[in-house]
Amino acid sequence: MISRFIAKRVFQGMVVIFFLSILSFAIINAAPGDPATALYGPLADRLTTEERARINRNYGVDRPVTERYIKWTANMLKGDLGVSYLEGRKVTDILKERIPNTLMLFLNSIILILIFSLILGLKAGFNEGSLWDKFISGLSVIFYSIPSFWLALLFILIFSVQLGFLPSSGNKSISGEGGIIDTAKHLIMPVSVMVIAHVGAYARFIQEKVKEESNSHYVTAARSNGMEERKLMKGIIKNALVPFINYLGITIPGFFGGSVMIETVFSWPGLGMISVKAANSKDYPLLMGTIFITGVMVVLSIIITDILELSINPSLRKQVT
Amino acid sequence: MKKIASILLTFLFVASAMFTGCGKQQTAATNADANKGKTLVYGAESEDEKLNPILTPAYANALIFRGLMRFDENNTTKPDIAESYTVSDDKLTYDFKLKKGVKFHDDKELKAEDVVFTIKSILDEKVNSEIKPEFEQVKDVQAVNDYEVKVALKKPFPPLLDKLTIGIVPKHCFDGKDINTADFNQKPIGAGPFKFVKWDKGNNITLNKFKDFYGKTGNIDTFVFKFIPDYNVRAMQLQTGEIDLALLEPSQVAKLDKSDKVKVNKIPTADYRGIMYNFKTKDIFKDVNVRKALSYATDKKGIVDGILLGYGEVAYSPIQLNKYNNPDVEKYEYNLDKANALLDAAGWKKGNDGIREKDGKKLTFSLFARNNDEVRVKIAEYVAAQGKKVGFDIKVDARDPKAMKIKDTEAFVVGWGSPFDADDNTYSIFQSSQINSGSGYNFGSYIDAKVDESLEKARTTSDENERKQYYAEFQKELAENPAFSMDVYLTALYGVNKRVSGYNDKRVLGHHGEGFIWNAEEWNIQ
Repeated sequence: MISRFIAKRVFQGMVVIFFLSILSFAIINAAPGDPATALYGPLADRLTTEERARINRNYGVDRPVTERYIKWTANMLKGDLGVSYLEGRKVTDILKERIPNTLMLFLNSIILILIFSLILGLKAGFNEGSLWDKFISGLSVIFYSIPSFWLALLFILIFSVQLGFLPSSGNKSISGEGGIIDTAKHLIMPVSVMVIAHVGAYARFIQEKVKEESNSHYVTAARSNGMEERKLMKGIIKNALVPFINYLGITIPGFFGGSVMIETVFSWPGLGMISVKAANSKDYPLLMGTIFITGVMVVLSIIITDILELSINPSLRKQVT
Repeated sequence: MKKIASILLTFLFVASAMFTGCGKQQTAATNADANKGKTLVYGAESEDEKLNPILTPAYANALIFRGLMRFDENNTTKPDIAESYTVSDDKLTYDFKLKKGVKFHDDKELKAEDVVFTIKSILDEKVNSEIKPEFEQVKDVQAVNDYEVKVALKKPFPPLLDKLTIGIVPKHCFDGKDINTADFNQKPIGAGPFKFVKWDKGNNITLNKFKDFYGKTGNIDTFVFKFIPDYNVRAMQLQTGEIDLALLEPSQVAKLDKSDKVKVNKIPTADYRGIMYNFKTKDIFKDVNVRKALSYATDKKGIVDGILLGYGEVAYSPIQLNKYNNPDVEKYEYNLDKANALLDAAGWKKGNDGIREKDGKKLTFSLFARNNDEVRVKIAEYVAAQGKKVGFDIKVDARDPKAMKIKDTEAFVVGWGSPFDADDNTYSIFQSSQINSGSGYNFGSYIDAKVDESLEKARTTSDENERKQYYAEFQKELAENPAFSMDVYLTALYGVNKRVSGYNDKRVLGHHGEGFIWNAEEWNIQ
């Protein structure tokens, strides 16, 4: 039953990724510019027509788009994402270095966001009209409005420059021997900024959902029938969580986009930074690789939220069977 | 509910531990030496993609690799791996004798075949080398014996010695490998003062002192390139001491100047900005008065003070910071009256809209600036505003440079410079033979017989005084018949921790302040 559901979702995910690859390949190729111009970068003033033709020929971008796409897909199915134009090494090798860093930042942030938004949101939602309720509503608007790059710079100024507590860039110290404590120190600031940037929206969402449920007829009916307040709360939370998890699934892709800014300011060597660089420099194989892997991560996280939703919402289970 | 939350959290923790765990294992293989001895950390603006002088210039190349020749503090070439060299009378053959006993970092001796391999690889069609056009004049290169190399040229080419500062790579590292994708590009081996230790992708590159280096060295044991793309963060890390050296933006200088830890060095560069006219796409530029008027109408001092915040110099010649500079040329000091008078005299009459026209042609053109270079965009906007005062209608077109071919633009905010031999970036830009030549940069199709002649003569003479004379003539003629409206030279701003000594703050730098760490092996740290 549930395995069939998962199989179906995975299949759907694969279809999504397939179309994503066609779409991104088309968009990348429709954008102006070519790898030769990108290779020259700041020296673009000295790129002559002959040089441009020679380098593009070497990279094979003088071939038609469809031909290149078919070749890319065929290689991709074999697990080969090609060779990065700029770095001259395998895209899979580059991704292997970057993915753990991005996941480290992402997972730590999302866990903290979940914890804080649930605690704050539930507390505010169950105490409608209280000072706490108003405080959370206000706070979430403030957090949501703070530009994350500004907050990041402010953190660096306070905690690195003024106080000297935390390192301001990278994901480990130069010697690379600090171990877990060193990594944690490097994580604190970027994760804090990620959490502050997102926790407001999630807390507010759960807060509103809890209020909505609390005021619905079934709750009033249950309460008037003398249902225990604890049991009632449990039911409300369960029902409020379903749309919350849904919301989570929808907003997770935005996370990967938003982390680009954080990664740049903190020089965090993740996927965000490398994909921006790849896009700017027309490094087609690397860019396709980062889009592909981000697509896979997004699809995976959506499947996970679907399964979670399924496990707490019995009415969905009926649809599955 | 609790159950679900705990399942969720456990899952995420496990996943987190799994993935990040792999990350740690990969990076555990680090070098213990990095902590020992004196370490200098350079906050680099961007991360290099590969370290191989054949393929591309890179920050760290200057320290890992050495070439036959090397620039000294005056930007003139001196033999480096070459012990001496001779030039044939027809200036077509260069004969280099190599130093004996020069070692690569893998302990193998550097021999003539490595030099031949390096140059031949650059010229190889299949190799994606960015510097191939610079070696276009090389006809052949051969090893006479293990310690002697002959380079034959197609035409006399004095900047060859400049070009041969290119780092020599060991041939034996590329046996049967594709240079474009070789492992070497990520783990380079050269004969320079620092050897490659590790490249922690996205974070830093670590180099250690090479004990068998043949030259003079200071006390730096470890040189680290730390990649910090954000310039605000670079300035902050200079203050915290996390990094010792970084390129700064003009807006940061005032604050850092007050710091007792950091010295801000203001270093001249041969990197100029100006407006390139395209004679092929726009007829109005054929009238020299139009070009002169625009030069007079541009307040260059205003650009230095307003756009560069004072960190620059008014430009009048493309080789102004070169030893062959001729200051005795028309400098086009800001003068709106002169600009108006020139245009009036040439028959450009102001229309109702304030735009001048002549024979039904409006005094209008579009000015392209790369949108990823703030200074260029501001200069374009400024020139457009100034031009309007004397009846020009200049449309600023700030766009992604990748979406544009310079040859197709009507006018272009250009950036060139000749920090080294005066022929470099003059002949290829202003000589008319370079309009359609594969390696030429005369994108504006500028033609002037006198300029052609003096550049050609300067290129084929080796007598210093004669060359100076030819370049003086070239500058005079270029000022009279401008190919560019010269605006400003940029000043590079380097913040350096006060514990570092021995660096050179006088040497004229290249594009984007390139070249500051040229003699880093001789620096000392307290």
